[in-house]
Order: sequence, then structure tokens, then C-alpha cells
Amino acid sequence: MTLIKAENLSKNFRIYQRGDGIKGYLKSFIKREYEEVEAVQDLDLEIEEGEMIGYIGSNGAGKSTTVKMLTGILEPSSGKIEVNGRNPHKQRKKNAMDIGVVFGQKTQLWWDLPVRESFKLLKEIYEVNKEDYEERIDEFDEVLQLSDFWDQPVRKLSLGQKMRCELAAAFLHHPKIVYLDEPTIGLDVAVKERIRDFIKKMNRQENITVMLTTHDIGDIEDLCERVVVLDKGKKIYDGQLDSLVNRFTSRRLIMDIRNGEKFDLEMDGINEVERKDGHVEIVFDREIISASDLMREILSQYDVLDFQIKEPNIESVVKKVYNEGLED
Amino acid sequence: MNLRKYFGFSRVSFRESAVYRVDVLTSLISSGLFLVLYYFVWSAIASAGELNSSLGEIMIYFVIGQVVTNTVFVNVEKFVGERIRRGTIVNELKRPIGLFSQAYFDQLGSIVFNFVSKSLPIALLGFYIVDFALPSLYNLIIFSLSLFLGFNLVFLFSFSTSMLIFWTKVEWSVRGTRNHIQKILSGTLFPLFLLPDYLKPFFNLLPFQAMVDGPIRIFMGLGLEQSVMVLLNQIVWCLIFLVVSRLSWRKAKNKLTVQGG
Repeated sequence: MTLIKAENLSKNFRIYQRGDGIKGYLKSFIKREYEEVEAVQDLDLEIEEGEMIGYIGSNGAGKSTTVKMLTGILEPSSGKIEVNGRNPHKQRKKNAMDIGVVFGQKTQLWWDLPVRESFKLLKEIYEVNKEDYEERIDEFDEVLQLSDFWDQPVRKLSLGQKMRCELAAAFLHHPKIVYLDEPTIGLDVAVKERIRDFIKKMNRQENITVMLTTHDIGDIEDLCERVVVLDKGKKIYDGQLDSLVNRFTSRRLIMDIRNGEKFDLEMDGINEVERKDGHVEIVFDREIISASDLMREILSQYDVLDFQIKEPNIESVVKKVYNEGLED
Repeated sequence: MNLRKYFGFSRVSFRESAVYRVDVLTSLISSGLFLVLYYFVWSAIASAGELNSSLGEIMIYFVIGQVVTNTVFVNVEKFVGERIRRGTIVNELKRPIGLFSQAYFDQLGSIVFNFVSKSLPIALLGFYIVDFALPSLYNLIIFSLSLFLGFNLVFLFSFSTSMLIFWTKVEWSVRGTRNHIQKILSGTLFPLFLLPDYLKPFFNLLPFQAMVDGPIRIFMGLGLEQSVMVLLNQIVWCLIFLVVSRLSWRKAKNKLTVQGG
């Protein structure tokens, strides 16, 4: 079942240009010049129930803006959104009962009060009954270990502790969809792992649909099969993570060969042959030729002393996509 | 309708207010200083003659005025402005309850706290020092009602002006302007009964006298008929600003841009 559907979704912001120097400041004080910024342009998106999708893109690509439109907080400039059969902006309050949201940089907990107070209020807001609430908190506690700081005021919590609370808060009321906007920002490896385990568990156990925006490729690798890549407000990729990686980096075969300088091989599937620090590096496409076939061919002609196969690195793929975009 | 979730916001804001004891102390001190200062200013005016009321009556007006303003003068600009500036307003907007209701019940919690921690001590102290007559029980009941209506009116007015922050992005100018106008015209800075007759109709046509002057007059022993008129006046203004605040929120929410992150 398609749970989230967006068509031709766009959002423009008007920001004003401030001049340079005192003169420029004074000028912009009197008369402002505005510039339209298209934060999101013509976005089409369909997300099925139970999916976990990674929504990535460089800073300012429009990820958060999309999340804010899908949650009903911002009204789209144009286009259509349907979440769970509703228009999230027009029916914001109804929609809010079925979703959980974490804005990683904006805590929703009540700063001066103990964590338990925030949760008590959330329980009332989302009309979670007492038994369910207690069961839920116990369950969350197992993975997120909330009881360590349950009675402490939120302002005394570390970033990681706060984020564990935020996550628990987002899943408290059995939402159908959870939007996580940079949930692991600034966290250490151990907390990240705990948070990922928690998200995985919730998804598996309750078939909760998760949309995750992040800059942490580890999150994506660990959680999402499908990724959507956004660049300057436009969707540039939507599909399996594996195929994105394969499309952008090929595997490399690195060898030490006796008389390597004479190495010369042309075959289908070999994209490039490089010589680096006495090694021979072959960039090949595994869709066309398998590593074993390639190796067999080379071994029959050359005296190979040592070899290793380098797998593509997702981080470098993403870096490449951010820098160059997808061109083809 | 499940009211518990709404009052949950009041409970939380009551407890949040209670965290800051220094804030209570400074409010009390500033009210005290205000009254001392005004005592000297108005003594000087009284000794110059030309006053058609006694100094005692004026001081009672000011003491009750402090009791009233410490409870009813809420500040929605702070609530909204802070959230817009930091962008955390997304959290209010992701909840299944409207921003208006969240702000209302939040402020309700803090006025209950203010009433207990600020208004009551001022009333007790004022009673001890200025030595005013306690109103009759029915005046006290109507006074409580008018205090609550006064809060509603200030809330609705302040909520309406706070919607301007969606355009201005800064709160202090909006808050300052609203606050100053409200103080001057409501009876906080001078008793409205001292106004010359030709100015009175002008003040009576504005919503501000219903915020502070009305409740003070009821406390000071206004007759039943006139007290009911004050309450009715407050209700009418509340209804007007209820409409204004709903309309301005409807405009503002489409104007929202969330800064950062």
C-alpha cells in the first residue's frame, strides 16, 4: 500500500538580499531586494507501507523542507501530497496522530522538567492509555536505556541521551510513519548503534514506515534499502542503494605483478588500467565480468605475486554524487 | 473532547515557572519598587492640590492594579517569538493540537502560578501596608471572574499581535509596542478615574480598560449592575479578539518559514 505520495511537489522561499558594507545595509534597510529560492522542485515520491527510506543530499538540498511539507508543517508552493489518504497541511492535526517526527536539531522535550514529565504530557497528547504506555516505556527502556536519566531535567542530559528520548517520543503512540530528520547528528558511535537498532526493531516489529534524512552514510547502510538523493531541490536518484553504488564506483582489482610495467590487457568489462606505486590497478564492472573470470584470464598470462579486491565505498559514491550530480 | 491533554500543557508550564524562583523574587521586588515610587510621585501630585480623589484611594488602585497585572499580563510574543527564532515551532506544529490551544493552556498554567506566587503576596502585603477594606464576598467572586476574563482578553490580544512575528521574525519590537500601549491605556500607570471627562469615552471605547481597570473597580466595591457591565464588556472584547486571533493565525501559518536545519 502506498502510504506517502507526492506529485510535482515544490516549495519556494523568498529571501532578501542584504547589501555589503554600511551603505549596502542601509540600502537594504530602505528597499529590500528579494530572491526566490526553490528549496524543492517538482518532486515526485512514493513510499510504501513498511519501507525504510534514506533521504540524502548535501546541506541545503531541500531534505528538511520536504519533511516539513510531508508532516504538514509547511504548505507546498505547488504540487500534491497525500499521506495516509490525507492532505497533511489541510488536515494537519489528524495527520499528526498517525506520525512521529524527530527534528534532530530541535528538541521537543520540556527543557526544565524531568524526562518523565515530558513523556507524561506526550502520553496525554497522543491519548496513549496507561497500560500501553507503561509497556511501551519498558520496551523502549531495554534498547534505549531511558531509566538512567528518567528523573533528570532535560537541560542536564547529554546530546545522546536527549536523542534517545526524542526517538522514544516519536515512536510512543504507535505511529504509522516516522520521519527522522538527522537523528544521529553529533552522536558517538555507541549511541548511533543503539539508535539504529531501535529503529530497525520498530520497523520490523510494527511495520512502521521510516523516512530518514541523514548525513551519516552508516545510517543508510545499516537501515535503508532504498535511497532518494536530492540535489538543489531536485530528485536525482531514487532506487536501491546497491545499484547507486554500483553505478558510481566500480570494483578495483589491485595486483603486484612481476614485470608489471608490461601489463596490457583489454577485455569487456575493464574500464581502466592504472599503475600506482608498482601496483597494477584494474577498474572493472562486475555486471559484465566477474572477479573470478578476470582473475583467471590474468593468471593465465602474467605472474601475479599478490592481489586484493577493493569494494566500492558508499561514502565516496555519495561524495561524488554531491559534488558532480548524476549526469546521464 | 479530551480535556486532559490540554490541561497537561498547563501543568507542565506551571512546573516550568516554578523552576525559576529568582524570577518570582524579582517580580515581587519590581512591583514593590513600583508602588514605593508611585507613592512618592502621587504624594507630590496630591500635595500640589488639584486632585479630586484621595491619595489613599489612588494607592489602593495601584496595589490592586499590581495584583491584577501580575496575573493577567501574559506574553504570547515571548512564547511564539522564541520558537520562531530557534525554529522549534516545528515541534508545536507536529502535534495533534493547534498552536493556539497549546499557547493558551501553557499561559493558563503560568497565570495560575503567577496568581499564587506573585499576586497573592502583593495583595497580602498591600492589605497590611495600605490598609484597604476587603471587598464583600460577592465582589470577590465577581473580581475572580473578571480576573480570568482579563487574562483571556490579554491572551487573545497578545496572541493576535504575536502573529506579526511570523513576518517580522523578531519579537521584541512587537512585544514592546503591545506592552507599552497596554500599560498606558489599561490603568496600570495611572488610575483611569482621574481622566478628564472628555477623554473618558475614548478610553472606554478601547479594549484595554477591560484588562486592568475593570477588575480593579470591581474589587474596590463596584455595584452589581455596573460589575455585570464590566464583565459583559470583557466578554465582548474577548469575542472580538477571538475572531481576530483565529484569522491572524490562519494568515500567519501559511507565512511560516522555518529557519535552519
